[in-house]
Amino acid sequence: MKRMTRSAALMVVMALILAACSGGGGEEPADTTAPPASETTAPADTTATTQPADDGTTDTTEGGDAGAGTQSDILVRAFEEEPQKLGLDPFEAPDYAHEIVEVDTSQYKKDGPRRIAFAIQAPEFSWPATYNDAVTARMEEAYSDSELILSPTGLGEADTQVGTIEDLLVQQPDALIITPLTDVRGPIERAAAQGIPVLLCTGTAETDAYVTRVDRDNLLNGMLGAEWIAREIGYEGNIVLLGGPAGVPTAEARLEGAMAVFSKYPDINILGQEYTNWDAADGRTAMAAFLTQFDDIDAVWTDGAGQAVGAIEAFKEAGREIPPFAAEPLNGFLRLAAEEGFPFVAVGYPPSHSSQCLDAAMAVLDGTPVPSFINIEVPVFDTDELDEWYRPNCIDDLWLPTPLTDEQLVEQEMCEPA
Amino acid sequence: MNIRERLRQIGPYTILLVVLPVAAIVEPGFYRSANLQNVARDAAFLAIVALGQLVVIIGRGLDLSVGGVITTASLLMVYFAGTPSGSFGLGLASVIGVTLAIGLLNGLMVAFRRVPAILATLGTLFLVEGVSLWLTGGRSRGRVPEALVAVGTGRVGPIPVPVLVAAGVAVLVAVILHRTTYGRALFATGLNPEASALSGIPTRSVIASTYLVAALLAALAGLMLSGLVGFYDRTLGVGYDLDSIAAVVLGGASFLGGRGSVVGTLAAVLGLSSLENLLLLQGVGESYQLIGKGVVLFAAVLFTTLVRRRPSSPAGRKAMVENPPERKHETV
Repeated sequence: MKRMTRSAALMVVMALILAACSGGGGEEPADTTAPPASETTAPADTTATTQPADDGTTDTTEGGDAGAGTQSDILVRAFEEEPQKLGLDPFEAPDYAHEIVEVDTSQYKKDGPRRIAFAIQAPEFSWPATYNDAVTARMEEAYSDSELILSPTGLGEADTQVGTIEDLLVQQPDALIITPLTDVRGPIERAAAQGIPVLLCTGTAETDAYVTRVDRDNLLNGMLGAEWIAREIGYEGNIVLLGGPAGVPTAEARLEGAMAVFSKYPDINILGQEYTNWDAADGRTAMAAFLTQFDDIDAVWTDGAGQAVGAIEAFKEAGREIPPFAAEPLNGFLRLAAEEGFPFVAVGYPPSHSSQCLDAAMAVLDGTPVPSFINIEVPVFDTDELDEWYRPNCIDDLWLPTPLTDEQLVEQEMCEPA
Repeated sequence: MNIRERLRQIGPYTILLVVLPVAAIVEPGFYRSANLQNVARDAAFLAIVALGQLVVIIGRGLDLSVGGVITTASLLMVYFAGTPSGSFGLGLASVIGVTLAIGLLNGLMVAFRRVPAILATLGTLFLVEGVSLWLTGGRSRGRVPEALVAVGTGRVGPIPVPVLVAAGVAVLVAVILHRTTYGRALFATGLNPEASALSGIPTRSVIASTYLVAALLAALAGLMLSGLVGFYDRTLGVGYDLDSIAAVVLGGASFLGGRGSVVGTLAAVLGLSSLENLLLLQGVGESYQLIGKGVVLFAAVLFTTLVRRRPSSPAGRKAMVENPPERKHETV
């Protein structure tokens, strides 16, 4: 909402003002007309798993055993099995889940040391901050002989990301990883034409010119929260939807998933829907307006913890009982759930998966075949598992699961010693 | 008073005059007391920031750093007062100290180094955001103190506390602008800095002081806003820079300085908040919300600029010479 206003206000201010004042030299590209990566349907073993550890921290490992089969099998199985973690019926996987193929990357093989360029999201808040920390830590830990060039772009300046990526391409990296914040088709296709393998990390793009995409299936994330909400309210009642930033693929896919679920239940009435930029202030403003407008709100679906905490504050202020919420496992959201006692479901999107994007890029440069889409496994839990996930000795702004150890969390002043 | 002058005085109320009747027709829920409280409270934060911006614009300036100040005030309070070992006094002292430093930097750059205000305050904004990011690494370390939550969400009877604070600030700013030597010096400096300097007004100090006022009021809004949201939010101040400028100019101020109205600014702020709330309640799609806001804002701007413009016909110019518009500083 604030960014919308900003855009409108910018136009006005400009009108008012007018009225009143009447890189480094890398290797040459191997092949500037590189053919598209050949695709086969051979089994792949590049999976990413995220498993809660006994001590409550999370051990995020790459290449874990997510089950035998292709990535298509794995993603189809995720649609079937993840709802069952919440006691829900399996989902039918969408067509695209059956279309994941293995990509031959032999043409990109390059011995180390390597230069990896990463057009990353600026660490404007805790999610991208952790995302950036994770990839930097992975680089130091596993690929210290190689070079990582980070080029951040803020959400509010997403329209400049294309220029940022072009700047990275000038430096002739061996591989380019992009976290798309806007339409990045152009630079992806130009990089491919230069023979530079492109990987998408968190987000998507309307082109086939990239090698692989490492991400969570966000349609599934949206569906999981929505189906849980539907069951929680007995498949009938009034709900409100608070989405992320308008036009950002991650947010739109989640919203699409939620709408697909809610459209199955004619007795569920969507009272209102608003984009809230994953932002607490925007979430609070939108929910405060809905609360004055509607006397009966039986549940709130959100696709992010930021707007959820703002919306919960609006319920508290209005003196209204907090209904079931769908959100993400941010420690501050879990604190509110613990303090206020409302039912919730949390569907994760751990920022630490950026490290797996780096691993995938290295696999491409090794010439190892990779799947065209690598689905990140995430935590999915509801009120029953609150005690296992909530960390009362840690700050609100901690995304769970965290790749940091307890000692690191204390060192970084994110947690008090337990 | 001729018709043009009367229309000019209506200008700040244009959005309200459009939104209020439309709301009565299409969204009666707009007039629910709880919703009106929300509108008034949301407007209160922008009003406080806009009143600071008004002072700057009267002095021929512009402050793009107010959004950064809002976020920084929230950050510092959470950082120093939001942990179990924190101190509210230390948090408040840090907010005041940093805010004064930001205002002083802006003032010195614009008034004494003659850096264009738009560049100086934009530079300060980048500086403040960068330091905040460096300090936090993108993460907040604490929680918003309960005292701020009480202020941000509290009510005195049916009136939200931020509305009372904004009203107090408005009265204070109006008194300073119209009942003090400083206020008269500011208007004179904005109207004609050279003549004001020749007449003995310390114009540089006057201009520099406006940035201190804007920074302090933005910090006040930031503290209350973080109390309302109840959660540290690094985008808390996003949009307040341009929104506040739009409100001030729609409220009757001129980028050429020397003109501005507290009441007009408040009316424009209420209009903008009402418009935003109405579009939200209507549940129209994102694209239509943007189009709606753009159309209403442009209509208000066109109306305001048309009634201010010099007549183009000889007869009109003659009429203006014979019956010049009042060049009053303020219409409180």
